[in-house]
Amino acid sequence: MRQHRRFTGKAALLLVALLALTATACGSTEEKRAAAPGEQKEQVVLNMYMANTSDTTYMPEVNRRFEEENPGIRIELQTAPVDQFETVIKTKLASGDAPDIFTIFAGTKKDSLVKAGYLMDLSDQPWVARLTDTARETASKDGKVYGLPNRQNLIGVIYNKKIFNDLGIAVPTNWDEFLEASRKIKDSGVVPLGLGLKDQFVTQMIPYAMAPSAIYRDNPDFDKNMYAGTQQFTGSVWEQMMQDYMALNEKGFFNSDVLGTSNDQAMQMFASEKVAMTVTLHGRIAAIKEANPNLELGMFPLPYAKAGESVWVSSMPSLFGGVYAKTKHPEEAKKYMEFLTRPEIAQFYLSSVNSFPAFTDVTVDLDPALKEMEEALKVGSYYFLDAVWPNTVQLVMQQQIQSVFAGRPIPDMLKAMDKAFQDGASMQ
Amino acid sequence: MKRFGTDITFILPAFAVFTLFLVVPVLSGFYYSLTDWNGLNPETRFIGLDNYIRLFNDSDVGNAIRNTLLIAVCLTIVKNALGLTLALGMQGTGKIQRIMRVWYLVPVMLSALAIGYIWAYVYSPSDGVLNTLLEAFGLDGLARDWLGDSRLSIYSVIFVSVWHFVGFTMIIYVAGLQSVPSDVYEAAYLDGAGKWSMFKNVTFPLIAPSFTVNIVVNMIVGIKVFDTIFVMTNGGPGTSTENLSILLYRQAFAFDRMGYASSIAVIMFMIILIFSMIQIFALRKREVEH
Repeated sequence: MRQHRRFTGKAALLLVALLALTATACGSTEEKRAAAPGEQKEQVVLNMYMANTSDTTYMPEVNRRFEEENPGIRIELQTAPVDQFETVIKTKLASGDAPDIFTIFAGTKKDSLVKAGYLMDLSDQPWVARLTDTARETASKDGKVYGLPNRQNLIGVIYNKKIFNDLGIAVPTNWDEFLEASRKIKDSGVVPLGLGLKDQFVTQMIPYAMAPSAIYRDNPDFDKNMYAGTQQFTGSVWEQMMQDYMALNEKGFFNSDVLGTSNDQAMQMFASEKVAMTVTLHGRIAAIKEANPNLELGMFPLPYAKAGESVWVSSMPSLFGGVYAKTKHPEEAKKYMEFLTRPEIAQFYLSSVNSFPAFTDVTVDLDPALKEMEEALKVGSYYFLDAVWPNTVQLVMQQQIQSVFAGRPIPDMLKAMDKAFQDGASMQ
Repeated sequence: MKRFGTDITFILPAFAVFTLFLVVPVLSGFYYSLTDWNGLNPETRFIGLDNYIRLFNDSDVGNAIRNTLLIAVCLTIVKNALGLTLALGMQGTGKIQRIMRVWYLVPVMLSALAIGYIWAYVYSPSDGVLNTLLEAFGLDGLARDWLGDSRLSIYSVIFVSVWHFVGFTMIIYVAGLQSVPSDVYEAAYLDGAGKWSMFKNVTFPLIAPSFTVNIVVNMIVGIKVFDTIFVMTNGGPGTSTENLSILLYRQAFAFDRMGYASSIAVIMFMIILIFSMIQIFALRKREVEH
């Protein structure tokens, strides 16, 4: 009997806890509805569902300014971590419960959404004419624009200027100089290059940074030929690229246990000056500075070229988002997108995320660490490679690079990438 | 007839929920494994057994099955051996035993994600707790890149899974041990049985039901394990810790091959079904009533 009473007691407690939980959940939505101003006139609510990137930091402020100007429109912003976003948005779209505006990713990643008819054609929007060529291309599929490009990301070498100055090292402009600089840094007892290859996306940074100079500068049709089946990774410059990548490891230029180190740890090592360089997205500069405001940082393109040859930059326009094809408020959504392209708004968010513009008529003052990259961009650039590849290649490449670090032969890696490419291309 | 009506009213709500949220999705999973659905496009083509043919030629699937079985077998053996040992040690109703039982059960209550993150730090090669401790005790030679070494990483992951759930296995054994009536032991004692023969001939047959539960449940958990791996290695380095669950997730959500992923899920279902049937059949025979 006593046992029984104790059980009912516990059950009751659990029930109360559950009720309390559901009650609070209901309460919060109720509250929101009540708080909405302007009850007399029907207010249009635009639902935004965005992946957590650096863009989400400025969205609330931009949205506030937009609402101020357009009292008839209210924006409901919801964000989620990238992984979660990618799974949830697919479910939302498939079940017809889609937000009006949502994050889409540039290049081939958005193509499956276009093919399924979920994205609105924005080609007739006035801002399309102001886009840079690369921005327009990565936002398009078959000549139609489906997303709003808002900025450009770069991959390059972020370096600690103080360490370079102390050792009397100049910014390297070719591969031999880069290796020489790394050797000098290593001899001084500092780790030349910090990489956290435990996080798979980090594996691609160096090949992405190498490829524009190694492949696309001289052979801009490489990817086209891949799709046509006349080009393969096997037997291409990729073999040399991967050998040179591995050579950096064999020479001891990376931090030890590079496969077990996470990206966060690599960034911490850089911020605490245990590492002189890292190859990553320019967006990391802000995070590194936050971790150690005293650092003097610079950034240069990975000089994967012989002396006298030009160095190209790995650069990628990123998309703010796209508009749901069947949205109930197409005019309002387009109005919002147009608002984002205004020079003063673009300048506001570009300086807040410290990023390069995707519009030809917008200029912005960036972190001084990016000066060298600004100049380098003018020489030439090519996309992050996955923007053009079928979506199957990138993940296979990442896994394979980890495997190569663990001892797998490079030709096997390239064979796997070729297979992934053919698989993916046949599905497109 | 009236009785029948009453029964139905009691069963119906549970049955409806079960059908709607379990049976229907599972069956539709079987159906989608025969299509080329990409998870997005409402239009799908029926492609018969193409996914399965492709699956048998996919070296990633072979690798994932090997990893899955290695994880499942290791988990089952280690968790049971450890769980039973702990249960035997924690027998009795003393204060210390009771505290220790709760202590071992604490990890079970934590989310696998949180545990994955914590252990990723513990295993960190440069500043992780594990290597730092080893160095503090002068065992530098044993320090490893626990998750970065592709030969070690799978065992590092298995260890975390064992640590996470061994308490649960232990509790089931404790319950089993407590249900053995003391007079059986007394009888065995009077017959002159030693400790080992008492365990072998009395305890073990009587806790056989716990044994069945623990082996089957741990095997199923081991085959399905996802979150710990996802957080700690995401299948890496390379594919050295990629099991069927990780491969399935990747195919479904990274490559947009929902149909193919469904066929992997069906294969997983088959593996679990076959193993469970064999185990239940083999273990049930050993159980005795008391």
